[in-house]
Amino acid sequence: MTRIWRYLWQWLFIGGLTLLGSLPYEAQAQQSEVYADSQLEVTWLSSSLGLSPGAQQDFAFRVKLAKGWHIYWSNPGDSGHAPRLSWQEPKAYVPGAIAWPYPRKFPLPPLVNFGYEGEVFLSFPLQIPPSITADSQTLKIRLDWLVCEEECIPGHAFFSMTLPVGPGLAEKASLWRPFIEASQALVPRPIERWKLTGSRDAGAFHFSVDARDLPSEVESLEFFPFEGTGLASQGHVVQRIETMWDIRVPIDDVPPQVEPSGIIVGQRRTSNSQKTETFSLALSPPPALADSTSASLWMMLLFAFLGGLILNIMPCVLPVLSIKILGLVQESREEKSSTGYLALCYTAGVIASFLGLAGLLLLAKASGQAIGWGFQLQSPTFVAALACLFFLMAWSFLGIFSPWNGLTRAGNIGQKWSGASGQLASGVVAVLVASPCTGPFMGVALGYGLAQSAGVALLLFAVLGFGFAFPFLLLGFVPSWRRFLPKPGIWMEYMRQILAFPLFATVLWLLWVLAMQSGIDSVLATLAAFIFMGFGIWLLHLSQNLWARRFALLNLILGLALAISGPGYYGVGRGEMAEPSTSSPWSPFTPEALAALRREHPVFVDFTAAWCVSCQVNKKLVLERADVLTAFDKAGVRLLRADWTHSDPVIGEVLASFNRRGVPLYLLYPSLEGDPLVLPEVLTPERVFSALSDLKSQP
Amino acid sequence: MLRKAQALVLTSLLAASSLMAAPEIAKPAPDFTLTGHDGKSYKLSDYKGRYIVLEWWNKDCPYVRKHYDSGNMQALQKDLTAKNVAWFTVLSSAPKKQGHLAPTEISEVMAKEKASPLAVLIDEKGDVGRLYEAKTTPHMYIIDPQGQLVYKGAIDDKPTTDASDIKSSTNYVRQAFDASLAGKTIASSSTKPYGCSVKY
Repeated sequence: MTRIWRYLWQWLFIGGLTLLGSLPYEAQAQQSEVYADSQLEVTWLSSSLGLSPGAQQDFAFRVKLAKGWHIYWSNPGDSGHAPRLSWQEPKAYVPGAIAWPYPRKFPLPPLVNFGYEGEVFLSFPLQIPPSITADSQTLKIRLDWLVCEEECIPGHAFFSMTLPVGPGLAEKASLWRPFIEASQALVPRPIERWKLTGSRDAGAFHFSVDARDLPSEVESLEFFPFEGTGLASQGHVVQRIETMWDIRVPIDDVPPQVEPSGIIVGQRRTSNSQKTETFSLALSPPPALADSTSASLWMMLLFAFLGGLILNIMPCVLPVLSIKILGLVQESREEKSSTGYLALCYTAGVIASFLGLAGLLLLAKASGQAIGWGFQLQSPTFVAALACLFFLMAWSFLGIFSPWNGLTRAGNIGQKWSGASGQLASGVVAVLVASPCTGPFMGVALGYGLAQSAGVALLLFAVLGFGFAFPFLLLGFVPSWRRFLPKPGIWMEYMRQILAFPLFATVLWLLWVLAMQSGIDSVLATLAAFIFMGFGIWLLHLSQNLWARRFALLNLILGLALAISGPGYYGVGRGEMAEPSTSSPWSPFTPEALAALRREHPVFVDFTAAWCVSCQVNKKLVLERADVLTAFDKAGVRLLRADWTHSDPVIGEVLASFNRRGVPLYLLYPSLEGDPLVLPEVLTPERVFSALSDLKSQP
Repeated sequence: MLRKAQALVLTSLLAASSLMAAPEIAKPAPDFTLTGHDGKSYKLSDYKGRYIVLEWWNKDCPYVRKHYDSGNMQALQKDLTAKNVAWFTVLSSAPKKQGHLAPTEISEVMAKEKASPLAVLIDEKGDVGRLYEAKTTPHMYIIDPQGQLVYKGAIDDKPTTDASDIKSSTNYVRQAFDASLAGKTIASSSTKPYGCSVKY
């Protein structure tokens, strides 16, 4: 009994200490040390208690200024310099732009500056990399600023903070969050309707806003131009003309880098008419899409590796790889000591195929063609040939078709993995089959890679291949893992035969794709090829003598030739579209159709292809659900489908403009103007609903 | 309130003056007469036939210090003066404001900094600064031998106070001068100036 009490007290004591220890630690952990001098104090703050991998979290600089001193807004005005941050470490984090609360004017005749006095919180988002494994991280950032009274003093400081890492920590608010959110509320929100008239030649621009689009009882308005617009900091003339507020802004002589834009800060009478309150609105063109090519190369390499790994479980690849595992099991029985070497051969085959594909893509890119990843399945000839290959493979699994050196070595997956060349070839086949399945990570990495130099693209593809081959590399080199593989036995034989049927299913899918691409006649040609090949197989099964073998080979070759020539003869593009009925809400995508529809409605564009399995899965599971279609309808969203089954260069160009080289891609365009929302490659109904509600909240 | 009124009056004056003789590229540069730190009188139009560079200066401004402590401005002055450019450093700081100096002090500072302008023009009242709409120190202007303004704006493209940026930055003054001398079009004839505000 006393022992239990002792334990209890011990635990209470430890628990209490931990609690006490953690409280002040938590309260202090979400901020850096304070930089202080006689003009200002700067601290770096976190809005969350910790870091969640993959999240985007808010951080802020708190600047407290001595009386009479000010720092600058994003456009400092006639002189001065805005504060700027530069991320130090760890390297994989990506800070976003500072969200600037509205400034005030500091006239210094004949000059005028824009900035802040007293205290200001400058918040900015930080992209946390998805792949952190440590349970805490030390972040370091540098801020440069210019603080002025009449004289100016430049300064800078490094700030660091250590935060715990955990999946739910981003949502947990630190004690700074209310302050950071309050400052974010002071950032001018874009206004829906405003007009710009005038020109640079005329020497001034007019910004016009309908008074009804502003809060009521507006007493006065001030205009602050954005940096790089070439608009003057002063000499603004603000007038109320009937229902419009007109602001005339002269131009500066400096060549502009952005369209004329800026913010208005106004005073309005509050409801009790005794005080005025300030409001602010942004008259700005929509922000540019984040430049994805600015992501670090290392992050992209990581994505490529992960993408390769994930490719192993994608629907296209699974049947082929399950056979490979069988082969591994067989090897383990034979206790081959060179399994490491064989695994390397497989890896070499995989990487070589990826590099080969990359090379082809780069060549095509250089010659100006807009093709993308998965392009090999855009060719119906290739699809027909692949269907034949899988057909043969399936029969070989069933045990009816015995291995043969010349013709069948490449498809010789179910039988013995005969040596290095077998492994190499299996690597090539695996890649060919995997290519249409662009999973998450892979799409991003590929898009990035193909947009960069050839060297970077090849490197990324090689890493992709490495990631794809990695599981088998591991199994080859770490023999102890093979303990986890089941012991060989008669079950293997049955397993292999059963696996023939997923292969037949793949043949069916390939035939469907062929039908889409080249019409039912090509499918007929391929099926006829199957008859020839079937005959050849039966012959071999019947007799192994020389003439039988030769005749069988002849049949196989004839069959293959027939299949390949089918699409060539019947042409491409005679396939039916997946939705022939006129009551379908989907219309074909063209840039003109998009522009026309956007004049009145938001538009959702589905970039898909018949041979892209992830696209088909998303289509069946999400995009054709009744509730999703109803949600689109309620939001007034029009639906366009961009079918890339046949390599359409127009669609290819659009994909490239979003740094993507393959499908799927899902874009939700707001009506009139604005950049589209890019939805993730793996769709769920919830993601669609949340995108639609984001659309509604956008002006 | 008073400052607002002041600002309003001055702004309208400036607007008015700019209507009269605002410095525009490819237009005649506004003429003026100022006293130099050596006591002599200098009139801009007397230097027609030579290139003229106007450099707005404030010895205590960190941005000016960036170019002087590194020797960048002095080197530029030497190089261009060797090509017969009349280089004028203009001091528009009002009395009691940052950068204001008596003529004797100016000579001392110039000797210490090893700067070599033709003269430092004293613009205490800020009239010429306002005439040229000089906003910052440094703010650079280049006038060609025909009296046309060919460049106005920043000294280079890196608006920082860090001297290590000078090596990697494009010097707009050198670029504009070389182009104009060779008769070619100037790539950037008007750029946004950077620096501390002129202490009118």
